[in-house]
Amino acid sequence: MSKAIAIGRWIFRFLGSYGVSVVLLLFLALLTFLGTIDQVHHGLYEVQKKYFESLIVFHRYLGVLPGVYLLLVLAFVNIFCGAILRTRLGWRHMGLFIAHAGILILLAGAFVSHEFSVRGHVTLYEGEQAESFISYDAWELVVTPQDENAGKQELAISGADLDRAASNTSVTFYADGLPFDVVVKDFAANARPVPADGVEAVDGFRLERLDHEREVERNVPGAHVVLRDTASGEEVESLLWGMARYPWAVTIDGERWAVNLRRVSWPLPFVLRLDRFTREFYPGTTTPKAFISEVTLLDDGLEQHARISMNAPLRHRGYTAYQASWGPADARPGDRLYSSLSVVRNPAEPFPLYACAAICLGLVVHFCVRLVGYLRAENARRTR
Amino acid sequence: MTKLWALAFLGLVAAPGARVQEMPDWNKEAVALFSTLPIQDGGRVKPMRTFAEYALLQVNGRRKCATAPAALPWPLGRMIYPNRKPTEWLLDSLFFPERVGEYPMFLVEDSDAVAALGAAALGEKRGRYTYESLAPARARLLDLASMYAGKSEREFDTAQRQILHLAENLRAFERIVDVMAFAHGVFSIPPDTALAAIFDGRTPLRLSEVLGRAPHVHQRFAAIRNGEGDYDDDARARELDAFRALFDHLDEIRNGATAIALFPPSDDGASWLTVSDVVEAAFMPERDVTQAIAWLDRLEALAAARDDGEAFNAILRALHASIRARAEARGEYGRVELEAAFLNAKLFYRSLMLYIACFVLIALSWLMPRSRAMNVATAVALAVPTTLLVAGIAIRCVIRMRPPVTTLYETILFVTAVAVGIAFFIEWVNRQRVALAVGGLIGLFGMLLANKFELSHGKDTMPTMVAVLDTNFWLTAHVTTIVVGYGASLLAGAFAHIYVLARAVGIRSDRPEFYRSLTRMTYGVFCFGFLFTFAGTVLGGIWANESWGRFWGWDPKENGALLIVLWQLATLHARLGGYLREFGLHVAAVCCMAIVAFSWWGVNLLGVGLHNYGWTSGTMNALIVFWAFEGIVLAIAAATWIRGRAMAARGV
Repeated sequence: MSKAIAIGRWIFRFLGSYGVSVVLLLFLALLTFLGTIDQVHHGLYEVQKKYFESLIVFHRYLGVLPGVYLLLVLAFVNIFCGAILRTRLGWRHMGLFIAHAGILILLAGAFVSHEFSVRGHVTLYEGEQAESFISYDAWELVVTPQDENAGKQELAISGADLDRAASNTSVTFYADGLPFDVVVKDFAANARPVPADGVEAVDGFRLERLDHEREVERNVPGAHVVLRDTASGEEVESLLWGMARYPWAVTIDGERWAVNLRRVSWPLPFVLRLDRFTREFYPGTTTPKAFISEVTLLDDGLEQHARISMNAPLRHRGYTAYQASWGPADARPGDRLYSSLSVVRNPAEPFPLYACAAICLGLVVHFCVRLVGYLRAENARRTR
Repeated sequence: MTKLWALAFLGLVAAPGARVQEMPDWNKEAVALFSTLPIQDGGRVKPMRTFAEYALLQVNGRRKCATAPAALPWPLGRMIYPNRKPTEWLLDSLFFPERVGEYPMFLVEDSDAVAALGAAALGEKRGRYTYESLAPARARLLDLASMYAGKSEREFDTAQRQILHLAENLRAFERIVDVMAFAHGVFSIPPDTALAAIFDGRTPLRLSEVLGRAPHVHQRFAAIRNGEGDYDDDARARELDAFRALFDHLDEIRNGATAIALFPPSDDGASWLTVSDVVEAAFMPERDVTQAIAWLDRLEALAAARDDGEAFNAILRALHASIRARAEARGEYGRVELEAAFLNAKLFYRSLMLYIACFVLIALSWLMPRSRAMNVATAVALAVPTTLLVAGIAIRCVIRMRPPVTTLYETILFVTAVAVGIAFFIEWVNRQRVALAVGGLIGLFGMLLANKFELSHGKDTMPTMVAVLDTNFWLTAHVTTIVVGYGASLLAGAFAHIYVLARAVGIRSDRPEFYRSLTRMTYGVFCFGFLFTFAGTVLGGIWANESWGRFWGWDPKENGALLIVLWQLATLHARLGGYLREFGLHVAAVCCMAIVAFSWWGVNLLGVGLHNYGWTSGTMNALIVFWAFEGIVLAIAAATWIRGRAMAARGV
């Protein structure tokens, strides 16, 4: 038993050791460097997935490396164990203790943000309003009943599930109450329909796979979908494409259904209306001076006016709206403009601020303690 | 007198091809008035002095311009044809365009390229060409440039980039000359036409006279075109042709004179007017440009008086007072004179020169290690250029109403000031003269870099801030902090260089105290740098969260800052854990310097990301040289370390 405790203590000491800290930090630096350089050839999204949100990275030249996600988890453990091992009372330790607590808050915040935050946009012409916001890059396949059944449960298949059909392997989805199965025969994250004939053609078209765009939000997916009547086994098929103007309308057993491949959207707990969008340029130049969206928040019958501009987002009920972009790009003076607001719901939004305050305070305390020590030592040396 | 002698000598030498040309020197008052004339350019109101400085830098790559081909041996040629300073050059370009065409101001790296385009090549491969000598190649040059225009700069090879650059410079110069082209020409109005009647038969007319009656001209033209008046078809056509000829003239001016917005508007609109704008607005009944037309009239008078210094000054004085009054009423003149004075003072250039002197003095002081007078002298020699630098940064802040660092150029100035400032503090604490020497070196390199950057960019270093950067709070909190971190990290790295090289050569190897003291300096500054890079990086994240909605986005610039922080953290923990001791710490500080260079300049070369504000071709080579140098230092460090181990093993 005491041996087990000894081993446990050894492991604890090891996890909290400076050696582990140094190795973790060097690996983090290496991966940060690789992930930066790789952005020249690959889009940020891909790089992020490969290096920063992964547990393991397979690198062309360096082989297998730990991913940044894994490293940060280990760093959290390392700091936590180290803090328990080494914290003492007194000024000499106080600063570093506070700073490390700040880093733990920062890492915890990063974890919460990564796992639980939602990010999308609301794009509105002046006078329009929205009750939901739309993802930049997440897609879903949605089956909606029409006619009198319009209130019925709809089937939504997430992009991750669709991806399982990505290499031409059929994946079947079904839901209680749906009189048919949804068979996704093929799915491509970036594709376009092209005219075709022969066996692979559906209604005279087939999906042409395209390379992934550098900016992930520019990918437009396509899917080859078959609806199979569970009772009769009859099949209807169609190609769905993200840019299609209308959903696929289909009648099965006398009921009308709409099948739609669309960007994921999330409801807002309030209504956002764009009243006016203003763009200002420095006189005589095309250098933007300001972009301002004047909006009205309608929440529970209450109206509230707000201005959203660069560096001045609107925060309301856990949601934050930022000025992101505007258009149309070729608008002439007097044309109706739209404004695109980024909307984020991030439960850990204030964490970095707390962390920053703690880290700065801790480092300043520690630095001052050390500086005083240095000055005393120098003074002693010179008087000697 | 020197001029006379030189002329006499010239007579003897009789340099072929050198044309002697009389170009009046601009008197001091004219230059002073002209340089503080407010204009609007690049989105802000600035003195003409600033425009002149960067226009000349762009065209000529230098802050001065020769006035004749350098057919004469130096310094003889410069005695006869003294260089023009920016404001004088701009005055020449606006008022003596035909003579400026003879100034050698277009730098051509490869004369074969311009020869292939049809210009007569100079003897040497690299040389400065006059506008006149490039004229035969102009059309093809501009054609080529417009062919390249669609491509991004990174796709060009060197020759293409040079062609494009030359074409841009040529156009930039032409645009400047076109600003005053109207004042050197007149309009002839065919007599006995309806058009002539509008102007009471006066001809030729100046632009201001034409624009003064613009609404009438337009009304009359419309009426005649619509069939009014007692004309047969031929007569009507003739009448209309007279109008159209005038409109063509005006169009030419309207298309050409777009470079400088000279006139503050009479209403409270934000945009100042160029000559082109005035021509356009004069025909719009709803716009009131009476005042601007009066200013045009004064400019025409100026051009007419260009050979008469006294008259020129008198007109310029009145014009300056009038425009200034309007700008003041709009609250836009406030810092114009300060800015002109700032440029005239050349603080940063003088600071560079003094850092060079300081460096020489420091080198001398090493020969007299015990001289107290020398100590004081070096400290003063370092303090003076540093004071100039700090004063320059402060004045820039006042002119722009911004915190000290908002552009890549300003980071250089600030990093230098921070590093030298900390070096001073350390010298004050430990009096070893190492910090002083390092401070001098950093000052020298920093100001060299700043100067080089400004020359190669040729753009106003006080630009307006794009919307996302238009926040003094975050610029102060994030940018200033992180740049202090850069400065301190570079200083720590510089100390580490001294340590490594001293160890390698074996200087003062009998005095371990010297090395221990160096280590304390390096470590202290390293930690100070860490404090600021860390705080700055996290603050950057918080700013990003305010403007883009995410704390961290793995953008290259963010990653660059993170790299420094991670490296510093690894170093500090390795030291705490006992993995690094004196030598190792210094090697780590040298590496940190290389990483700072990557973060500061290297990531800009990747050409991706949100912070992509500093794409600079040519930076790559400098960086490679720097990293190669650091590589050599590290190799020396490794060799020294191995030698030390071997000696220790042998018990030496």
